[in-house]
Amino acid sequence: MNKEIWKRIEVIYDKAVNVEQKDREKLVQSLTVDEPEIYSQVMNMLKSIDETFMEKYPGLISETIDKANQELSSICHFKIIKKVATGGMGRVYLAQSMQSDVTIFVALKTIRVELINKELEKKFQNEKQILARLKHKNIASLVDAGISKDKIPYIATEWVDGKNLINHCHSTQLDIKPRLMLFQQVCSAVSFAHNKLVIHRDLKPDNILVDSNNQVKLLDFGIAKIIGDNHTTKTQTQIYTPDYAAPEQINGELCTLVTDVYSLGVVLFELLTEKKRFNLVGLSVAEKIQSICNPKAIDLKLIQTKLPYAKSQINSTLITIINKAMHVDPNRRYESASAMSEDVENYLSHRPIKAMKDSLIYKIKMFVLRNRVASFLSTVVLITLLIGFYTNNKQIKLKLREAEKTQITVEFFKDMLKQASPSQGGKTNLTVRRMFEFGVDKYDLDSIKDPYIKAELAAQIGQIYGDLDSFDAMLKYTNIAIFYYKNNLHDDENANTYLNLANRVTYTYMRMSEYEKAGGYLNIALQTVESFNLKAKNLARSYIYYGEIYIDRDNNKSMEYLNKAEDLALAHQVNSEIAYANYNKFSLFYDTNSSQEAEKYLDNAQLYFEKDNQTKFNPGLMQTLSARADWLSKNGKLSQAETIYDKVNHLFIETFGNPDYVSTSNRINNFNKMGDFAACLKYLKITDKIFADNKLTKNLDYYYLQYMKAITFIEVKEYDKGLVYLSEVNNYYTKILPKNHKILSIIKMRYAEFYLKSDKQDKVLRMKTEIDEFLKGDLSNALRRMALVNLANFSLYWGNYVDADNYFSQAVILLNKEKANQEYYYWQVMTGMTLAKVKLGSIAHLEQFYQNKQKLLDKVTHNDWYNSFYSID
Amino acid sequence: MKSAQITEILNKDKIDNDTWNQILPIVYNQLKVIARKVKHGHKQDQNLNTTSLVHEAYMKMQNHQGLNVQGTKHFYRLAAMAMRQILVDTARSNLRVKRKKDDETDRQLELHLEINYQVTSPQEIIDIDKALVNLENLDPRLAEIVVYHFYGGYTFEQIGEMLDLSKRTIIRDWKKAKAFIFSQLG
Repeated sequence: MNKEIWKRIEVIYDKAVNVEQKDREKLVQSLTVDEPEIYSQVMNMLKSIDETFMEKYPGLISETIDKANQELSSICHFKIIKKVATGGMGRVYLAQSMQSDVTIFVALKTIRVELINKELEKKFQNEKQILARLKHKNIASLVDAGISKDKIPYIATEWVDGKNLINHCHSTQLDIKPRLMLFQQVCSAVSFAHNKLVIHRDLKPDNILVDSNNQVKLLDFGIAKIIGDNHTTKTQTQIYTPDYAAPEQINGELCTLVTDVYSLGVVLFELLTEKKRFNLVGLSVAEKIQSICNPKAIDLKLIQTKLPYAKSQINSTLITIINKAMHVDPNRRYESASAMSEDVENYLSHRPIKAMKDSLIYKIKMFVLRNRVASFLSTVVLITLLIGFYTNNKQIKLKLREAEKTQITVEFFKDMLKQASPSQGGKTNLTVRRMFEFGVDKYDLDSIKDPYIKAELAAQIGQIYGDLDSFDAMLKYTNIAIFYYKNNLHDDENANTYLNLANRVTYTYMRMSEYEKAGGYLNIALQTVESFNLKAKNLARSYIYYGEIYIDRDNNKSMEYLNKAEDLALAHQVNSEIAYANYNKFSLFYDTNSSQEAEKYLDNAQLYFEKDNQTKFNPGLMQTLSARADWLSKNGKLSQAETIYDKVNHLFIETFGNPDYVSTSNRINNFNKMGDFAACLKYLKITDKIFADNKLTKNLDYYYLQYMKAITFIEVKEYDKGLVYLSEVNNYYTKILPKNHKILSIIKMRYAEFYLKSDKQDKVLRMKTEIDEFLKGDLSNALRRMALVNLANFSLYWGNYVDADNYFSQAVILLNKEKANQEYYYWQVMTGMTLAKVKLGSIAHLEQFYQNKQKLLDKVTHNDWYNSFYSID
Repeated sequence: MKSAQITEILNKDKIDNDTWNQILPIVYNQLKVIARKVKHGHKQDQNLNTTSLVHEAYMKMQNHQGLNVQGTKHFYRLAAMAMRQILVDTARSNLRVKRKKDDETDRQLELHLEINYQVTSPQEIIDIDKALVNLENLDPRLAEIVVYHFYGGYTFEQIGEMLDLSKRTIIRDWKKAKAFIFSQLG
């Protein structure tokens, strides 16, 4: 178009605009008959008259900056006290809520946004709902958010009077371990938020404050999302800080949970070195992207920094953790903040970190260190228990509750774990119990408002206490749970939970040897829930406990219940209960002469426990294994038994950090039979320690060990000690057992042995009459044998070799029946018998006596009184 | 160049094109700074409108040496030209940022301003600018009115005073100029 054409167009246009709209086209047409280009140009121009084109100034949008940056005295119901900071997003004020009577200080952020519309307001509301639920001790909580009347978007959060994480560490000259502990707090907060699917997107030291209580507080959680998502225009506004931003963030790709993990890695680096991971100062955007997306390996030699600790303390393990978190490929980072936290925890407690799975040497190194602290595995087992419990209650899984539970559990176990780690102020060689008790102590059960959650947690604590043999604590906590379920028997689910808990209480009573209480309790429980549809597993378990209660009281009834339990369990294929029923049947036959029967049940129990092997640690299987060892020991296969005891012992140490009390006492018994009294004393010390460390309730198992102590001390000629323990045991059993119980008789036999060996003539004499009387009764093999041996030894003592020979011969027959020819005891008896024969003039037996004596001496490492007692002048 | 010198130039009766081009960047920068910093006294408008910015800049110059009548007219012209430049540059940078994230230039160093796209899109600003260049060749007076009104945000009365023309004429010309630009956008 040139000026001439324009002039022509202008003339026609001027004419056209002066006529009415309907006549315009005709007019233009008539004026431009041979000029189609001019016609279309004019017509195009005329169209603009109806358009609201260029009517408004093309405004710039700095106005909103100004609004957010205006000097304000109040926003909504917040009175502004002072301005704290000005940033790209807006300003931060210290403000005070005017809605509350109490003085509540808040950090009030005004946010620069381009345009306020309905959509933004809605999003603000949505985010506000989500952030309000982000209640965690390490997250500055949201107080309010919204858009003021003046159209200023604002976010009010808890006011944190603290220092930036790095500045805090620098100014307090913090050592490396406390720094890592602070970092763990950061991880805890991030992982909590991640569980609620809130991503921070802008994690950096400025957003991580440490208050005067050394409590970490994360700021601005999820705020990046509000701002980021609410750009109604498509402009890119950089809401993150490049120094801490993940490659995918810089490339404008999707932010995920691991975007925060990356930032955590950067923060960890800076926390340890007090230097930024990347030096981006003065770089162009392209160079920055290059530095971040193709990072150079960390080289501490190149980092000039003054730290309160040697730079070498930032060792390769920590660098590995940082590198894994900061991997350019999001898929190769830690999958979550908690996974990263776990590795830091691993590092702190000298366990191998996951990031370094492959390095075997490292693993071994850490293994050595690990034994200094309490076993981590135990905690894993406990956590597995908890998780298992929760997944069983599918129907009650309301989301909110779930989240709360997670938090409770995490907090709870975090405290426990902390205790296990000496570097975190915990004690070395902590037992599971101490860790656990610490956790329970720290956790205020009463502060849980939701009765259901409280009940669940109490049930868990109760169960763990039960596993730890603290019966009083077990009952206390379990009853809290039972109270809830008993009062909320709305459905089958709750009824089953109730029965399950009642079963546990029953079991605990049994372990306390309160069989009548146990039976009564179980009766009431079953009556309470009889109208409900009960799970086979729970009901079978109740029957099994009935069976157990009747063992030794009414064996027929016991068998009846155990059969009932097994049938029910078989019908519903509940392997664990089939196994337990068989295990108890084995117990029922343990002391009878039907050893084939007993073995069959033991095999069955093992088979079904193995089938039930869902978790790595299978207590039933352990129990069966232990029982197998007992059985072997009983049948004279002492070294085989010891092999299994040793295996069980290892499994327990691996899992719980200390050996099992019960199997160890049986192991001691086995050592006793082998004549290895040194081992007896060694393990007695260990069991004593377990007992003291764990403040165990004095139950049957405990007195059994006291009994073992008594006989061991008698064997090693420490008669005073032996007597103390023997009377302690005697007192206990006299109290709890009926007068003619076999255990009391056994103790009596031991007294006899003691009197004899400690040379108490008058007592021995009295004992002889008692034993003579005793032998007239109906006795088990073992008891009869013990009585006979005692009488034989008395006869030897008095030089009555005919009687001695007679008694010994009878005893040997019984011992052979018991397949006890491997035992130290057997050789004692054989030696005694041969001695009697030799004394009676049978020279043929002299050689045999020496052989026996040698066998006896081979079996024991120390000289005992038998040497002198049996020695022939 | 100091603002005193600018005032001196503006106070002259006539300014040639070279001089305009020489002093334009100065006002341009000044307006940009003002746009970023303006803090107080704005009404509830959504937009940081040109008038207020220019007014701010003008007040600043007045405070120093004072502009005479001719100088004032020249200043307003200059300011509107600068605003046109700012808007076009902003639109370009906004578009560039949108298209090419890994642009070599640091975004933070870019103009800190953004166009209120609810009113005009950056592409539109650039297209209008192109059409306006065409119009300047065909009819400089019409183009000038567009610069004053559209970019400068001056009222028709103000423009009438500046060009010694009646308000009616200005309105008529503005509509014609607008129609031309509209037809160019197609």
